[in-house]
Amino acid sequence: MTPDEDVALLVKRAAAGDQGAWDVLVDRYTNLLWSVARGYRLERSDAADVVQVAWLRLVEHLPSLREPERVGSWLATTVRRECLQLLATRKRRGTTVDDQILEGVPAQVAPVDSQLLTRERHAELWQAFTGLTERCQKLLRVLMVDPPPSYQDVSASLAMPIGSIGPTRARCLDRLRALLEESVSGAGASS
Amino acid sequence: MNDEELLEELRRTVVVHDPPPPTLRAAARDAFGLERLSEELVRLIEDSDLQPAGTRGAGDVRLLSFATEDVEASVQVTSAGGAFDVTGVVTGAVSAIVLQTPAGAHDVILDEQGRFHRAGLVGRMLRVGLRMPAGRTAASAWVLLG
Repeated sequence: MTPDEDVALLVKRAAAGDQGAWDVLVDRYTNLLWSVARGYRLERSDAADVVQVAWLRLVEHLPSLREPERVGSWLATTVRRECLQLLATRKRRGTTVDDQILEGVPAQVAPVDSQLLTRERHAELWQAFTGLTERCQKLLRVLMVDPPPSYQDVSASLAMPIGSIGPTRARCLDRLRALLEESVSGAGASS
Repeated sequence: MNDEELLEELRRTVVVHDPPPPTLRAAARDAFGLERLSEELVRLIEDSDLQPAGTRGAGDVRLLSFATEDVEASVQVTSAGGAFDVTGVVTGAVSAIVLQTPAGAHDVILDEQGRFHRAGLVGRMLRVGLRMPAGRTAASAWVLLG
């Protein structure tokens, strides 16, 4: 069975009322949806609500999904649209987007546990990652998801043509390496 | 370090710094068990959050209008502190309105003018259902109230 057939079968079984099949879909796609929402720099609670709404909508749409093998793309697109609407709502209501972005930077919302920082390399890498452009952070977050999403799902998650994913990925990783080197050489110069 | 190794290291870093909340999967699993109000869709035809700034709505008030071919419901949602109140009016042959949140579904009786009100709903998600004659039902998509 191909991965597409596997996913289509899970959707079909869930549409027939199989909670176990639904749970497998949840396990397969929740990390992807979380990464998409966090890529928009939503607060953690907002990101969680956006992901939840996507799952609620899928329950309604299960019987009528036209391409069940693309349920991951359907979910990711739903999350992306809800993120954009939530950001627009926040802006409209006077919570500036800049505030949201600041709240969304993980190193600032969650004080980093000093024990975790003993893994110094992780801290350096995270700092370099948050120095990337928003586009690069969004792409790398989605590419890092476990289990790895298909390129179709990555494309839907980011509204990015499939042909752009590989070249953009290479550029973003090059930039990440450059930021890491700057960080290491900067630390060396200051010591 | 090649691209794959760098991505793998980054993956381990993200797991440490920004993991999904532990409750996220449980909530997604529970979504499957919620009452399915109807397969007939009530379309969202107007949403104050989709209007240009300053034209409609204010503060934490959201105005939503839903419709089927023969029924229309206008709903005002007022959010405060993790809860919300819903006030609205229905035109057409509707016997009751259903306000559903992930915590449960509530039937709300209409007055003679088709108006309804329900206070103290919990959370930030809402689905509006309509009960019509002959057992017909219809329901909106889920809305994230923002």
